[in-house]
Amino acid sequence: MSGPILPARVCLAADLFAGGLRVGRSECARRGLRHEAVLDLAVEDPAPVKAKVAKLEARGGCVWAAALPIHESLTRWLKAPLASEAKARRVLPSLLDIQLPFSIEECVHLFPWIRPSGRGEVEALAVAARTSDLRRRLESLAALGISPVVLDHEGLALWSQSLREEPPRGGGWRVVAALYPDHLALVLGQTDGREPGESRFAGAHSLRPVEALWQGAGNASAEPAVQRVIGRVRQILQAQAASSSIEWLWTGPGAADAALTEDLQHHLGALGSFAFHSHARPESFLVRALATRALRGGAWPCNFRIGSLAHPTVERHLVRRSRGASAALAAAGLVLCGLGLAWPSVLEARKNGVQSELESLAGRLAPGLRLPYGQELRSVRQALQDRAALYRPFLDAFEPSAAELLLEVLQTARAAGLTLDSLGFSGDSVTARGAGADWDRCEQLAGPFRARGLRVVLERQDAGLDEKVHFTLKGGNAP
Amino acid sequence: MKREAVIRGAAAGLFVLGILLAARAAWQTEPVAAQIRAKLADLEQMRSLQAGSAREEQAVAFFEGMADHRPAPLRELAGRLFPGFPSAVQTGEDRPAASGWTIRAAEISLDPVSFADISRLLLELRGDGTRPPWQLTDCQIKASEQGAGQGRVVLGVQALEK
Repeated sequence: MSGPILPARVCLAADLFAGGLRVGRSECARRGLRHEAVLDLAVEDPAPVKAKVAKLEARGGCVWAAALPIHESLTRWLKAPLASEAKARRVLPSLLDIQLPFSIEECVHLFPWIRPSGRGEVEALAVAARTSDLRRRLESLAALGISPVVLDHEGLALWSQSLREEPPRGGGWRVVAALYPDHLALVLGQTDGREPGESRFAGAHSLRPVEALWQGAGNASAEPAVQRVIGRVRQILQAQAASSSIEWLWTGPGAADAALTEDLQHHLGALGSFAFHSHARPESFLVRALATRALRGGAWPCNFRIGSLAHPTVERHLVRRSRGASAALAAAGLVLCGLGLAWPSVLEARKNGVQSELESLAGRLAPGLRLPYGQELRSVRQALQDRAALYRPFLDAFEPSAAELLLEVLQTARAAGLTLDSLGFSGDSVTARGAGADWDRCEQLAGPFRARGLRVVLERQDAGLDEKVHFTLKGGNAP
Repeated sequence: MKREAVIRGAAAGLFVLGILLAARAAWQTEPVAAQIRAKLADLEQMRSLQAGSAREEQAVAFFEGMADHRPAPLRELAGRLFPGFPSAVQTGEDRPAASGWTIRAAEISLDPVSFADISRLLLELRGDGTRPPWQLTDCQIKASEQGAGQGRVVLGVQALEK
């Protein structure tokens, strides 16, 4: 499967056959594609056709697709004795060259299908057309004002569209027979009950002349022409070793002629067992196929407009896409370069910013102090410790004062009826001795000290002659 | 097409250069980031030191804002409260404090004195907030044998002065 060649929403597909031009317009809609036949006229004088074609293009925003007839191209299945697809791609042109009736340099060749077969081989479908035929075809189209972006292979287009519109009903051979006034296109393949994308295109053949079939379908005068066509079909089926059970699908302008198809079906019955069907709207089948492949891509992609024949729009698109990718890559590279160059500077600037802030703060905290790089915190901490004693009295004024503690102790002693023999405190230590009526009252004296976080121990002394409970209180700052 | 190939090559070269520079920058990031983290940690600690320093400055400013930078005269105060103790106050050694202030130290000895009267003295030492207070630094109380609730009291005090 592959995508479209150009991103477009509208495609004008041209089916140029002997003496006539049919154009279909296809547009991408929410659900699939919307097809409409917009032109169907005889080409006797190119000028009026060109004018009508120009009118179709007037709306703009569309791409043209056309087909190279089967008889101006050839398809070959090739097998490269290599397991690697990449290596096989290099030798396939040489293998094709051997099978071509002309030099490979004189033609345009494509490989729409390459796949390892699983037996150490790579299988490929080659499609080739002489450059001169392609140029002639493009000139014919250009004479009508048509410049196709896609020049598809008629047989591959018919095959993929047939599978799209009539998915395989079961395994077996399928023949898509497109009846045109000037030729009968036969496309063969195997469906084998697989998905449409997996069905195998076998080959495409163009049977000419067929004008006699149209002129006298059902008449005895047409019998030789019919027999000739039936004979060719027999040869083709035998060459492909096609089984006797074949799904035969009519399409092309001739498919609408019931007498013609019935006559041919009658004669084909002698060749084997056929299940005959017709595609819907057969006259515009090829233009639908071409437009669908141009807008949506799909299996068996093919566009002969490559190399020197490439459409300028496609070339411009490819150049634009290539430059876009290059610009994106360069932009990403520039961003990475910028980041790579700027990031260390950003980090260094951040480091310098923090260092500067550190030095500034250190300078404010310890003015005039020499600050060795990296030792700012240590130096400032030392300087603040050195001067802490000078500030201590100021801070102590805001702490709970020792005077208040002493007041509270004296008040507690008085309230509890305690007699204090001695009381002393200095710095962090406290001692007291005294006596009370009972132990519970003595215990009350520890309250004010403990309330200030001092860890004090009250020890009971032996009772004296006064029958009071004597105590000793000792303590200091809690560890 | 050759021109396109040159453009693509140049773009790819620029991209590769960018990758190399970005990789080099990434490789250099961690050591510098570690230095920055260490400095930020130092800065954080420095800010907590600054907060402590600010408290010190505010405390000094509080004293600077007082109407009178001298504490209440201790001898006068003791004489008023305890008229019977003419030499109860002994001055100690002065010590320097921040911003030109001086720490005045003194000792008040009262013997004998009722412990209840000590409360009055302590309240007077706190002052009225218009001048630096006398702060109690240590205290020794010893009851006399004559009676409960009185005895010898020695109070160590200090005050800031400028």
